[in-house]
Amino acid sequence: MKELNPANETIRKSPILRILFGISPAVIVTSTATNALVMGVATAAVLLCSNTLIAAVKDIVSDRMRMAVYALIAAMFATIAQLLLNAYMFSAYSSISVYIPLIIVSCIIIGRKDEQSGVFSSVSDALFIGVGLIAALTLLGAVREVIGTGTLFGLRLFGTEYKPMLLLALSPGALIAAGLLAGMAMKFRKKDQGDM
Amino acid sequence: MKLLLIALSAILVDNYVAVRFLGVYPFLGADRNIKASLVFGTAVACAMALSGALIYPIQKFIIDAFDLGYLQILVYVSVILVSVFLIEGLYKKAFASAYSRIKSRFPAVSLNCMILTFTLINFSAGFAFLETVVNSFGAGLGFALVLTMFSAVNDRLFLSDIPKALRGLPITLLAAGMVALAFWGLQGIVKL
Repeated sequence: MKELNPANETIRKSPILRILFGISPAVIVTSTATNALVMGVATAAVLLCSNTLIAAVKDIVSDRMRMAVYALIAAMFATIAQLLLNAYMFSAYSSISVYIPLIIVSCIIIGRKDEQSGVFSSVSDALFIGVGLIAALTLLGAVREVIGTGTLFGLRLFGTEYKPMLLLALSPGALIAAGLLAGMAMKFRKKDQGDM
Repeated sequence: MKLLLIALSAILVDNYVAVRFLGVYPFLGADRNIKASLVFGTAVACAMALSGALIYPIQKFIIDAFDLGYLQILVYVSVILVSVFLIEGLYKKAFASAYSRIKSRFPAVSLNCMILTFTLINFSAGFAFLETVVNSFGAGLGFALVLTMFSAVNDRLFLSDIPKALRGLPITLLAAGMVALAFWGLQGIVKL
């Protein structure tokens, strides 16, 4: 097992691994499918905007300062996302507001692509990864919500005799569910990519 | 006494990495070398204490005083980047041999500090200055504890025969879930 460093070359090249690393700071929010979906959409939007801006300014930013500049740009868009959610989606905002700053960390992990060639390629990259992020987070949220509380998007799925498995609703359950889903994703990766 | 309780709570009972587990990213960066993990963890703890000490006056006398809540995220990110930069300089000067071990991982120090700090915002609202610093430092120490434990877990994982699909990230997440579950058992020992 090699060191699991997101700056690692193999990880940079595999979209699935980048998505998995990108959602890992945000798994705490996935206790319900709704929260996960909102968080996924917010992360994807911030990722898209900050990737575009960073690609546009990358030539005038020195190597040493790249991470700081990226963090501040992502922080700016995360603030915008926070204010928009607060204004237009207050019920969702009140349950995930605490975790919105974590979007910055997700964006730094996924978005720091040094070989990035231009604005267009980084926009398409961000779109692709963003859709993957939304799908992965929502799936994780749906699995945890169905097993952990017996509902899906707030709708009751089973009869009253259903006993929810509390483990998945708690935070350790998020890690365990994420691990199992990551295992499934790995199963479907192309064979030639080998171990990570 | 209250300071001791806050520290104990941040390190063990409400461990921000394991129980609130917002520092899931560090687990993934943990390697098998316990010494390197300790150096990495203490760097995070020092940076946390420093940024806690810097953030408290800024929050109280600038953000709250002038009602600048919308700048909070930007200000926090800047302060964390500056404190990690200062700690990196300190390590370079004072602990050169330790620094060379974790040189390439200093970006990860700032990511972890961001995760921890953003969590702390919500759990340290009523704290005074010293309590905030102790809480931040405790959160960092708790991080170092979990990271060190986890490098031992990684050592065991390295020797075991893991199903092919679970190798790498998936088994790391599963093992992190088990570690988090173990910390869950400490709930309720300290009441603040």
